[in-house]
Amino acid sequence: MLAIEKVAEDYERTLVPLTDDLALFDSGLDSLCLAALVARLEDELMVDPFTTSEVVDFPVTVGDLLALYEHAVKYPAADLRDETTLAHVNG
Amino acid sequence: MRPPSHTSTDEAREVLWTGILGAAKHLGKREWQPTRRQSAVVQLRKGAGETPVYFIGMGVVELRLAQLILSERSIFGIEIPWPSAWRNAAARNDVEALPTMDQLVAPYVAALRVHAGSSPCLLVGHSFNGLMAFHAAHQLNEQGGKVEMVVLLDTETEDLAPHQVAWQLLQKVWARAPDLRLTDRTLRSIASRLRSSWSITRRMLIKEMRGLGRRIVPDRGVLTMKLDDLGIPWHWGLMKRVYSNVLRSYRPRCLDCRGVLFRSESGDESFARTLDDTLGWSNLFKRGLEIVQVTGNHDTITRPPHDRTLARAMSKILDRRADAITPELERSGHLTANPGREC
Repeated sequence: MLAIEKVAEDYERTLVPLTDDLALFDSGLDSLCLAALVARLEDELMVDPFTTSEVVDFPVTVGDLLALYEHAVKYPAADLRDETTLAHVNG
Repeated sequence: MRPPSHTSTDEAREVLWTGILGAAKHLGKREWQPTRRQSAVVQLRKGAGETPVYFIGMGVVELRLAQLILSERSIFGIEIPWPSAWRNAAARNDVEALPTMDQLVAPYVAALRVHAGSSPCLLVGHSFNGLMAFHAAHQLNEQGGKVEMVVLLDTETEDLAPHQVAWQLLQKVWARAPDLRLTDRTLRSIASRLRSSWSITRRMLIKEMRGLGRRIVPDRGVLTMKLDDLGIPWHWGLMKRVYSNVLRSYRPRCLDCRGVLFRSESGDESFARTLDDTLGWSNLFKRGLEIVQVTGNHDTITRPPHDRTLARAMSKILDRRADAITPELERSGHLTANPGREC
């Protein structure tokens, strides 16, 4: 959430109160801000969940985006397409 | 991940995220691997079988508007990546290699022809995209299509240079010859005109100096979500060069359909807008032009909170019969019926 707030501050955008269910495009961030957020998260977390797998469900809500990055940080090398691998990693 | 929203499609989200990720890689100075080619026409809102609406250009703005519009019509967005050769030409300021309006619009029309065929449709565009929608309507109609209405979101027909606007304004101010008898009234009139002239000249000089500064110190401007065919996002400064070059040679001509202009409140642009309330569209629609005043300036009419006002006004227009400019609409505050002139 902090990264989102920082990007909003950098680009002088006003955020609405963030909740998991809030649609990203309704958050007050435009597409350029979302690009800056993705670039920033890649710098900070050293992961890019969008290229980890060829098949990505693009996030709709703030909660979706958080879940995507949480998963990418937790399983950086896991192939998201392979449910067997994921089940194994999850124990 | 949640199931897709009922108002937007996976395809629309994919197009938007492709732009976002391309820009993210550019911002992070990392290599970008373009994704597979996406379809040019994506559905932004599912609707009934009524005449569909097509946005020329598709981004978050168009997606949000489509979600906010309360209309039964299906709404689509058309997004075409521009050739990287155009970007290189814009960077070199090589005007010969930049596209004309015909070249710019042709791929949108090709996509429309495949999608809409000869069925009736409505075209919408914000800012320069409105001008593209207008020209696309010409081309589509000439190729057997049927554009019933073009909706212009704060689109001007031409981009006058500050000195051109200033000259026209000064002509207006001094159009009436002052009474040569030196009465108090005459002196007040001359003083008032001199004040106006000074104000116009000062504003023109400031704008010209800014423009000159941009020419001397090349500025690519902010990054946009407009992608080229390699998946690399365009900078606004380069897009503006493409637009300016198109406007140098493009002269809009009368179109056989209805037009609706949603006009923003006067902001910084009021300098040019004082010349013409119709933003140049007064005699370009054979079936009439309607002007709808909405809140926000040129940039903010499509952003919260003004986007809701715009979407409400658009909903009324989209769901109204062609011949039904009702008294309620005229009384509703921000709607003004203006039948325009035959052309």
